[in-house]
Amino acid sequence: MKRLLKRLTGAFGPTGNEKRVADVIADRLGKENVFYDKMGNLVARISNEGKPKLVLSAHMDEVGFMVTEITDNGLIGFDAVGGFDPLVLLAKRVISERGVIGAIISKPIHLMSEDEKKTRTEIEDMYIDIGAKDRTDAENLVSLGDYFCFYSDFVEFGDGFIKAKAIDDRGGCAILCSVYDKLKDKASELDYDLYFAFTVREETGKSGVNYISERYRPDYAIVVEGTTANDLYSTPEHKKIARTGHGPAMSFMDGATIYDRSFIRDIMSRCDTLGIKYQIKGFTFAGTDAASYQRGADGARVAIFSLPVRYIHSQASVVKLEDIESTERAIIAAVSKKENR
Amino acid sequence: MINLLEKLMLTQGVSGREENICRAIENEIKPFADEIRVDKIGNLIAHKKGSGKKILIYTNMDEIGFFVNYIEENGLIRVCSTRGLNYDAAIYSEVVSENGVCGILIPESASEKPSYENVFIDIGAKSKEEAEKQVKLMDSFTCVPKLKKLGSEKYMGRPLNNRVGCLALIEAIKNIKNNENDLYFAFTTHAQAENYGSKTAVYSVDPDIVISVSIARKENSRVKLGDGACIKIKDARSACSVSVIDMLRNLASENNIKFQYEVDESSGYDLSLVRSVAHGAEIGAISIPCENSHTTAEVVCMNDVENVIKLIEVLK
Repeated sequence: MKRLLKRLTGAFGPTGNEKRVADVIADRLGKENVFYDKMGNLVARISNEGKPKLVLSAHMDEVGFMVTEITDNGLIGFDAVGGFDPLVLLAKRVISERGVIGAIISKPIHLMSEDEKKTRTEIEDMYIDIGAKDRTDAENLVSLGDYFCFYSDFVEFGDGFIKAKAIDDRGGCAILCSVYDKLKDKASELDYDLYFAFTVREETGKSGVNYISERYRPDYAIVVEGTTANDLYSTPEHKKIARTGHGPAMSFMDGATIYDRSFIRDIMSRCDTLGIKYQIKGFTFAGTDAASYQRGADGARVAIFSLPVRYIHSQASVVKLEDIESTERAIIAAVSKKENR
Repeated sequence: MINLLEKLMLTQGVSGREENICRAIENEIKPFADEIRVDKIGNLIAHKKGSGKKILIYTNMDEIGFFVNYIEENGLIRVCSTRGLNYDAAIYSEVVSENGVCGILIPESASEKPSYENVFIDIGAKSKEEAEKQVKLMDSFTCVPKLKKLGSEKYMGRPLNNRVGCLALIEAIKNIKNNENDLYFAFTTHAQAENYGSKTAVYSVDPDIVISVSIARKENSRVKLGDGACIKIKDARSACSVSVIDMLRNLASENNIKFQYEVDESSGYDLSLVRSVAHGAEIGAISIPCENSHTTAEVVCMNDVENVIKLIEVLK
């Protein structure tokens, strides 16, 4: 699992440019077992004709940057692809789709006026320095529309924690790959006709998953996602959202979805029986891919497993390996017949 | 009819928790439908077969409410809520859970504007442990339902929005006999959470004509209580099909059904969402004028409800 997670988090794949992530997954699952659709989503299936159709869904894309400007002195102006706190960007290393390495810079603090020091530096005021000497030099390496993403190592540290970029949602992708491997020869032991959807474009409008929902019209969908773990600092207990080490977080409601209570309860009781850790996530405004399944086509019953991730949407997102393992077990329990869990 | 309305109002069914209200409606209409089914997201869809046009008439059966989000050590309950919840109107109301547990919605401090961030439900529990014996995370609460007569023709209470719509469809289903058109009636879920019940119902029935039945907020549309069924012209996001407006107007005139027009200038997410999946179906809406929507003192006029029922019936 660790090796797979390292490969997946290391792959370049901002929203709209997920091909390299898809290729890692296809390589792992076996090219003959996967189907690329016209949007770039990757789908695998453990066929069980006649059983209710359940989609396990994780998105392949990560937050990143798109080049929008090249200045006379060779700096690269960019726009965010996906949601960022601008503060996490400053002085971070980034890499382009063509392998050009740079760092995100802004006006240094000693040159700022007193007023500027008090206000947050916004993305419009940041540039990527790729070490080019002028515009022509930069244009040889980078074009308008090129993508950049964080350039960040995979590091194990502390009490079973992993730091990498893009754990949201390569963590979900890794879990789904592993679940596929474990269940692919056991179709008869499953409660569902199982689809594995690795989707594109989640971070900007969820169009990848909308297409999957319309095309496959599942009866059930379980989304495997990353969510914010606010379990440090002095966050009030009721705002911690999800805690590392407590297993996958199951939501009952967020800003876009009221999850199917009977489906959630079924999954919870399966986990309880087997002693698999999970936590119930409190309300947050952000929506997830589950909304696309619930309201797409003729609808679906939906649930979500969210991996608690600290510093999500930064180059140093942190996950606890134990939570990845609990999520994998919870998914297997959710889809397997009673006697085979 | 008032007894049935009261029964529907007293059956709790917050968005995503529509099982009980769904069952109550199903029991009422079962003998009058050729087919009846509950779909994947809980919509109740009844079919009265006919050989003419395929018409889907839908109304939402869910209501606004709260969910238990977190239980504090001191036994107070933090909540989140469906869309449309007016915290200013709900604060200090008596509330009741889906399992009948009573409580009060109280503010954390009297000086802040109430929102889900700073209100609690007090169920009188001394501790988290005691509270957990009565409520669980995910349980729903609503302000206490009630129905009272107001003056000679009006009724007040909650949730008139949108149990009056349910009442109208139920009565029409009961009264329609030997229909020529192929009629589908959907009681939809999740209307207070972005309306995706109606969207999926329209998608799966795939009708020629779609007609929404709900309330018209007097505050948004200058409709008048007592002036009859509202035929919607447009809302803030989409215009109704001219063909449906004409059809409803003609049917109302021919059958002496009192009606008024509705132009809603400030709301209207539902019809635009429905149109996006209706595969070109003609879309219209009939509404029941309602005052003080989304408070504990919603007001409707029963004459308007009766006119709406008649207008649905003549669609046969």
